[in-house]
Amino acid sequence: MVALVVVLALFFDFTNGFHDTANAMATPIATGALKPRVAVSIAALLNLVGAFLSTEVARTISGGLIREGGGGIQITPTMIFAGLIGAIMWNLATWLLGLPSSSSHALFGGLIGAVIVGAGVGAIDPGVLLSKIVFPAVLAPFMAAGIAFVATKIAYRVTSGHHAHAARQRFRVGQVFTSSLVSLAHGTNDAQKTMGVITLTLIAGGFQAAGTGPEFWVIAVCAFAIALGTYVGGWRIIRTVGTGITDVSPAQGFAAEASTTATILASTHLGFALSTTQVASGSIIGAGLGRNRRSVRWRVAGRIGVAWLVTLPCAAIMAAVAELLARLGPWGIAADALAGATVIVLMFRRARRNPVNHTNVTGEVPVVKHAPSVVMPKVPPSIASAKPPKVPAADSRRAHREQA
Amino acid sequence: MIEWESFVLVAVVSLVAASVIVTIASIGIRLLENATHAQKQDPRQGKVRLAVARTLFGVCGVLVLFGVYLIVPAFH
Repeated sequence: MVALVVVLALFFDFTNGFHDTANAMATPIATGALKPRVAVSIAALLNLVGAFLSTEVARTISGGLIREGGGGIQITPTMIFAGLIGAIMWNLATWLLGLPSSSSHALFGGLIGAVIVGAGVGAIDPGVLLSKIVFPAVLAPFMAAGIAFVATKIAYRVTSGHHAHAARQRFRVGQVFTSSLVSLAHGTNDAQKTMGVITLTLIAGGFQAAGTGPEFWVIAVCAFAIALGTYVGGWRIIRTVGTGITDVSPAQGFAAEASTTATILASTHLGFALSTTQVASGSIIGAGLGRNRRSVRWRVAGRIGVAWLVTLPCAAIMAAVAELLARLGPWGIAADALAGATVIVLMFRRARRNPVNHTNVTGEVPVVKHAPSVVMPKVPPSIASAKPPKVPAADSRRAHREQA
Repeated sequence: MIEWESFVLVAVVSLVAASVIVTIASIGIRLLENATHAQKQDPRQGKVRLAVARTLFGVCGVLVLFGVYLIVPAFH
């Protein structure tokens, strides 16, 4: 059981990696600041380095959300197993739709769902759920959008003049640095979550003394899993974030990433944790608004918003079902694993029908005939059907043609 | 329940930090672009602009290093 959980946790780490490549690399890819392959390689390397840099165990996993120990509820490996299944399913489903949802929310949702079924609603602290997850999730995108809006206005105002267009292309160099910082920060945060889950499992399974940090091999495999996931690249999500929400010019990209970096660093160090995914997407919307209000495709943005709202409950529901099955005993767990594997294979096969990879990641979002409806009928059909509105600014058009 | 104080703090700090770095980088970029054009007419003015632009990029570099410092826990 413990081995199974470790493998699943690593797979989650992998999906986490490719889900979140977009946060850092979508805009530099979209503006041509970095070639797609180069961008994901840098991101992977920095994620790898980042995972080793941080020595603090990510306590965010439990973080008081699930009342544990001393009179509380003991979380079992089975619950973690079910939670991970829910989280992975949701991560893959949103990836298939190209939606940048928060991997952390999927993980929390999965664990919450499994714990509610396994130990009852009393095991969840609603106060912590609201103050640590729900409110920040609602506030993060607006805050990031506001900051990026101001940053974009500044970038355009300062560089306006005779050679504005040529000058603004130079922001690409800056993008390389800002996006690298986002990647590094991501590595120090997100790989930690899986390390925390694996360590928690090892402790729960009696393989490790309580209160100890992650073993070196756990750090190493987690680091490699997230780096591999990042390298493989969630091209679908990169396309949505980079070219789906708005057409990003280098100046906007730089402003958006500077805002993302500033917001994430400030939130980590001043004690108001925010989701990287939501900050990054919010920044891009803000950058779009800062240049031209009509350049933002609100249908795409709205769809992303819906995905954020349903991420936690959906992952929770799937994990709850998995936990119900798992409680039947070894056969239930085997059925879980089988069902999970089947859905994963189905989703990857579905993805192959309209592949998105480094070759077509900056292209127009095409119309997909087969809107995937495997797991989640709740979410409206894929981003693909959104019609890009007319963007009056010639600036980004030109940038696009240059890439093509 | 919601920690408004730390939220406002994070919002203000992020806004200031992002604005400052974007302003510095933008001024640097504008000067650099001007410098390349000005060099033909007035080489001295071009040189001054280039030097200022480079200094500003240097400041950006320091800010990036500060970001790395903040990210890596081993440094503090």
